[in-house]
Amino acid sequence: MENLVALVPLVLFLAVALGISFAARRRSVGEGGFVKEYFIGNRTLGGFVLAMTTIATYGSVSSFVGGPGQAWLIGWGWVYMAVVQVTALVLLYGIMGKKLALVARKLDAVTVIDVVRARYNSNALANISAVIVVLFFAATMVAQFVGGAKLFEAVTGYSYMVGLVLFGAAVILFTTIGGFRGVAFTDALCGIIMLVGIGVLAVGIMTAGGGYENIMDTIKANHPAMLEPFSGGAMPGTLYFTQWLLVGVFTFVLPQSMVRCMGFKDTKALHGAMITGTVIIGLMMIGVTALGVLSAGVLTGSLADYGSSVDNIIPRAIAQTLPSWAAGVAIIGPIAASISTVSSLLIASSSAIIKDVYLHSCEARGKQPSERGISRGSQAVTLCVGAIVFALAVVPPDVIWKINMFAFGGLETAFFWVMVCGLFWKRAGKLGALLSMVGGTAAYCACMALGFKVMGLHQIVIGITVAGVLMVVGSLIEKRPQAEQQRIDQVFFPE
Amino acid sequence: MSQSDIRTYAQAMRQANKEARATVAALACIIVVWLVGGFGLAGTDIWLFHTPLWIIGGCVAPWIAAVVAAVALSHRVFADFDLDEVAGSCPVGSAAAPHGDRGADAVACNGIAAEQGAAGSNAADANESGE
Repeated sequence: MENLVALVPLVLFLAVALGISFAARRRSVGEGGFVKEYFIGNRTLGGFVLAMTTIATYGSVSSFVGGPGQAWLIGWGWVYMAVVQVTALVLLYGIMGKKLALVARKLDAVTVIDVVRARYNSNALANISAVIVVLFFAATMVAQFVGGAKLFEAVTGYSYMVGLVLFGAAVILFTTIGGFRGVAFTDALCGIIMLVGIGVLAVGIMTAGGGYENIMDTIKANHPAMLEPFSGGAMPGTLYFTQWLLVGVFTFVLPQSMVRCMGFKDTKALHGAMITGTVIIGLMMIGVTALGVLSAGVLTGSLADYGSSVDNIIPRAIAQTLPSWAAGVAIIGPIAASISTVSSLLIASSSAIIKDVYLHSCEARGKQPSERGISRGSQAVTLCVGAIVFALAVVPPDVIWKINMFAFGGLETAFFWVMVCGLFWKRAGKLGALLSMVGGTAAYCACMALGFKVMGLHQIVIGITVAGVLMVVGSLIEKRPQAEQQRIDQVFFPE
Repeated sequence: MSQSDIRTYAQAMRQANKEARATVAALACIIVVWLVGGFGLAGTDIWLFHTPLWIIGGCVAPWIAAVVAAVALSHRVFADFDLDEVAGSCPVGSAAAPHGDRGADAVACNGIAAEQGAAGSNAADANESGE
């Protein structure tokens, strides 16, 4: 009975998300073409939904489980590192927001890869981009499914499979039905629920720990190093530096974030989203990571006492500090984070396959698929990708969290110079972009596989450096026909 | 900047460049706040509200700085203009290209931009088939 009580809030949340998806689908009927509606929501996102869908896509289950668990172990230094994420929305909207919105409208582009194809006049680059997006997104989605289902198992007592089927099926279904608009609206709901989950857990931890002052006194007495920025050597300067790059500065080129800059309705929405979003992302990321530290005032044992994994800390804190019904509410936060990330990646993967590969090849061959065929095909592909990812999550790999971070760095390496130079450097060319994307990603993957590092820095530093050098060299040695340059300049660098 | 100042696509793109530069400058300011508020205050033994001062300076101050930067950029640097109008794109709900693609309807609606997009796309096919 206790378990059933913990399940009710989650089931209610999933039902509401499904309802929102159906409503979004119904509302979209008759507006614009199917592809534009399904993959970019007809560029109608308002400020609040734009902010929430970006945050919810960015904040994953690891922001709610792995990060705070690590903070429980390391201390306030981990929060100090996590705070770099408050720059994510300022950078995304400030650097890419208007530029992508303008270029997308000019080209009638629906995906980031549409923009890449037009900027570099290269189908090969577009196809490589699509492959990279689908592969890295799939890896991230598996990580989200596994993280969410494990959390569900730990808190409710139901099996991993029950959790996976329950929210896995729901997220695949509402993404397939609602498309981009449905994903954006359910993301907004997820964002709100994530905040509610943080609030409920905060009350639980504060109450169980005897208040903030008492918890801080406990930490000071038991683990004084947790109150230092270097945490007694556990937080080296190199870690701060690479985290600034990995989860701070480079996040504005993540395709799943950039596509949101192509979907808002007007400049007021963008400006509003930047302010609202920065307030909320800080509240969320600082709040949830700080709760990880504060749980050290409640979970006072050693890591071995909690299954030797920091991933068990937050589930344990939820289960230990909250009554069943409240635990049921608190668990929706991380599961909403998982769902919102999966839904955004799922629709982006589907758009890469349908829009960037299939429809483009039809266009090149002079074929025109019917509107109904595209509609059914798009939904079938979304469903299939979701089902494949679901199947991969049934037997969870052990290194799932590493795969998640690996995918994050891989996407940043692949797209950073291609997008930044593509939008801001006139001389950037096809050869440079191809070398940058392929060479940078290959260097990053190889270094990750071999465990090779320079000065102890994360491998993204190598990937980004190689990608940057190749972009510059390739662009400078390439000679471009004047007519092609003029065509590109008209859209990307108008005088 | 008022909405009426930006009328053309070129003006809008120049404004977007200006906004991007200002954003990078804002990032530099946030990083300085983060460094000074965190590492800079870590040597002090001052506590506020049962919390070492560097935690407040390093974890809360950068967030406040980011919010201030977002407000300042939105109100002082960023400009409001009609994205659809300057880009010459179809308004939502119009008879745009049936698949949201660069088809004949998009050319009719977007004029030279769509035409050029379609040309660019075809040129890419032609170029790469010969590569």
